[in-house]
Amino acid sequence: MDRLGSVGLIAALGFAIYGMVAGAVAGKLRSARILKSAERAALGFLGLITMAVFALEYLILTNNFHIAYVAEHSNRSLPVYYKIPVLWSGQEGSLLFWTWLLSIYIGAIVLLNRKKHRQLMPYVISICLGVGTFFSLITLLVANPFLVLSLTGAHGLAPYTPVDGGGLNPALQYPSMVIHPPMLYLGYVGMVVPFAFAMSALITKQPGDNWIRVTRRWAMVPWMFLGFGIILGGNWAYFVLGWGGYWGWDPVENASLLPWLAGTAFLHSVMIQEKRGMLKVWNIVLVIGMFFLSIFGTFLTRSGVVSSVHAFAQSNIGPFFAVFLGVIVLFSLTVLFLRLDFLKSDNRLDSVLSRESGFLFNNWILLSAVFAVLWGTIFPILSKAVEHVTVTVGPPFFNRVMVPMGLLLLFLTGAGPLLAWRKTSWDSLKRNFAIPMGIAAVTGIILYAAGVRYFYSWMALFLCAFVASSVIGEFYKGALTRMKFAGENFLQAIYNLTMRNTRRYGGYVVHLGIVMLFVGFAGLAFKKQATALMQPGDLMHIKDYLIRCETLKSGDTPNYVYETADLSVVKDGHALGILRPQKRFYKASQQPISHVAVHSTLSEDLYVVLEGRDQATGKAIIQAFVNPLVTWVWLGGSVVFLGSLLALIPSRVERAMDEIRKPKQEVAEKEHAG
Amino acid sequence: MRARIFIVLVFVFAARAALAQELTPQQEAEVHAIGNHANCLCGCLTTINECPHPHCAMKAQERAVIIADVKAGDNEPKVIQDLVLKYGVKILPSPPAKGFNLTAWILPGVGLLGGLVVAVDITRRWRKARVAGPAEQPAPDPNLLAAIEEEMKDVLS
Repeated sequence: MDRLGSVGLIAALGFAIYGMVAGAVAGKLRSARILKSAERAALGFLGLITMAVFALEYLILTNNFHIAYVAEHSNRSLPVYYKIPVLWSGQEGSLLFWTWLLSIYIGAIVLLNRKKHRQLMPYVISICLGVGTFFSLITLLVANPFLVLSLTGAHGLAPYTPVDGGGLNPALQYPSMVIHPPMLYLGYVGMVVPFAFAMSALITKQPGDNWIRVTRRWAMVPWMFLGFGIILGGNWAYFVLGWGGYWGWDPVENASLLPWLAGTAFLHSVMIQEKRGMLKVWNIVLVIGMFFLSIFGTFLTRSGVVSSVHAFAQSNIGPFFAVFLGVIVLFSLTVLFLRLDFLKSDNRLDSVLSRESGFLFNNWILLSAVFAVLWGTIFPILSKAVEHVTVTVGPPFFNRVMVPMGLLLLFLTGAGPLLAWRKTSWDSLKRNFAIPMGIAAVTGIILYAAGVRYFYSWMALFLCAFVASSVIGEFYKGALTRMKFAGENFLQAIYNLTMRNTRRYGGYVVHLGIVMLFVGFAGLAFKKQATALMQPGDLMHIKDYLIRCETLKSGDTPNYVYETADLSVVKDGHALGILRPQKRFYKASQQPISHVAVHSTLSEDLYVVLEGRDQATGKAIIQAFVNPLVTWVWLGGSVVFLGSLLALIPSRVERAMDEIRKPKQEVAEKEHAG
Repeated sequence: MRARIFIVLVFVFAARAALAQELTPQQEAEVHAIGNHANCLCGCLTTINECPHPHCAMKAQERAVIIADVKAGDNEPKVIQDLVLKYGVKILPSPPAKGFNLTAWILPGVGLLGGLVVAVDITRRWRKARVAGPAEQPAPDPNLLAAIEEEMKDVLS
């Protein structure tokens, strides 16, 4: 089976190289026959990488410990549902997984565009398979997951099969870890597709604006997955790492945030290009930035250049990625430079008070945030190079720099929908802002009276009220119009309004999700923490919670041994039940890990960790946190995901517009081809 | 070499002696506050208070230094300075604002302001170009206008 996997990888590399060259030739010669061949190569690439992935999964599931990767990352007693994620738990397997997701994207592009975008497709396939070639090469030559273990003996190298494997990292044995990496990778990998479409449009000088809509749709998909992956990662960190938080501004966390922020900027500024034919160069720069940052994030996670709890083991793949990043920059900037004349703006700004300028300033904040996060993430490397001193750039730095930017962005999230395209008069500005600002002001006063005095938290909640009322106002106004003229009831009106323009109202749902996220972030300032040594009968107080240790139990499973503390919790005289934090010690990897117990409500979480036993007294070390508003982060992340899904559904308006544009686009493409 | 061993022994005994005495609640609070402003250097990449390893030797060692200093009457800046002397600047959760490290703090602000200048400049140039002579507006697509009208009729029907 390992040979099948290796053969699959070698053949996939061949198909990728062929498809990359054939695609470029088909584009140059405008040959439908060669394009067909390139498309088949792309589908072959998908089939062969799939074969390699299934071969590796088979080796993992059947405990083939003669394969180095399986021996290092799996073991016999690992439950089946945790054997599947072994595929992406190590450097080699996760690179194969990356390549597989890329091949799925490529396959989807080929199958979905059999009759569409025929001028773009040759170069799209060529660029995607160019990236596929790089990842296949790395997987085959530098980080091969099919390498066989061997021992050096008197007669040279001899095959070696250990009795059992080293086991999966205990921190990865958690349900959300099964879906967090695939989501994140779907985000990272998918950034290739909008990049390929944008570059192809520039190379072929595509007429019309159809290509930017395609690029936008394909950018929306990875952006959605990346955002959801980031939230799942935060959820994993919160429930597994046991430090009471969900975001630590770790370099690898930052690496995932960078393409998401650039993608957010693109998804806003692309609207200016679609509606007004402006910011064309800027949008291309953003698409390049998204792709570059996604590969840069992969490089940071895997090269060992930064220290991180999430990073893979240090390896020698860094230089290869550095060269690849250089190739991306060189290629994309050359194409951009050669096609600058093709990207002239069709229109000018009518007024500073307009939706266009709102998006421009939104891009300003988002790109400043990208720069700040990138700068903070790479600063330790620069400091080491310049001053030969290791510094840490941690949460205090990022919080000080990023919180004001986040609040500015939150304000623009609410202000944007209140601005009209082209020009907003002062009167309409005052009228549109009056109610949301009034609601925000009342909320601010109530919060202040309720004792919310920490400025940033107060401001965040004040702005959340502003944005929420501005967005809900948009739904309400639209629904009222439909109720008045179409005779629908409120719910029907909301449904039809949303489904008629899923992109716009899906976007508003995403904004509501962002508001919920910020509500969660605002709670961080009010976190409480306490530690106590406990044995049965002992009590611990934190905020208005009373925690009593009932029992301390230990047990054994094939995979790990554990200790559990049964803690009964009482708040304001009401029993809330039993919390059971657990400390596990995994046998194969010989590593301990805490499984926290959480009592969640919308207002706060009581979060309890069993850290272990105090060596002197033998008592359990219990650490408790009261984390206000954390549930809003998970809810907000889910709403952002659902809103993005909604925005991806083609709406009735969009379908009608596509039908109208189609003949014109076809004529333009024919003229261009001729 | 002997002198070094002697210094280490003195340090260890001093730390043990300091730990032997109970902390007052105020000192406890100070130790906790300082623990939020110094990294644990075990590799967990969190502060001393947030290190998730219960028997972390590094965390214990750093805490012992903090407790000893707090008991000696040192305030937080002094304790942090002491920690930096012993463990280097990497113990700080963010770079000190001096020398090359100052750029860490300044550049994000410069980037933000620079971006603002660029954004304002772009809007001004767009406006000027419009005032000097509006770009010729392409004639609206009649199909598009018809579709909009249909849509409006549909919405308002």
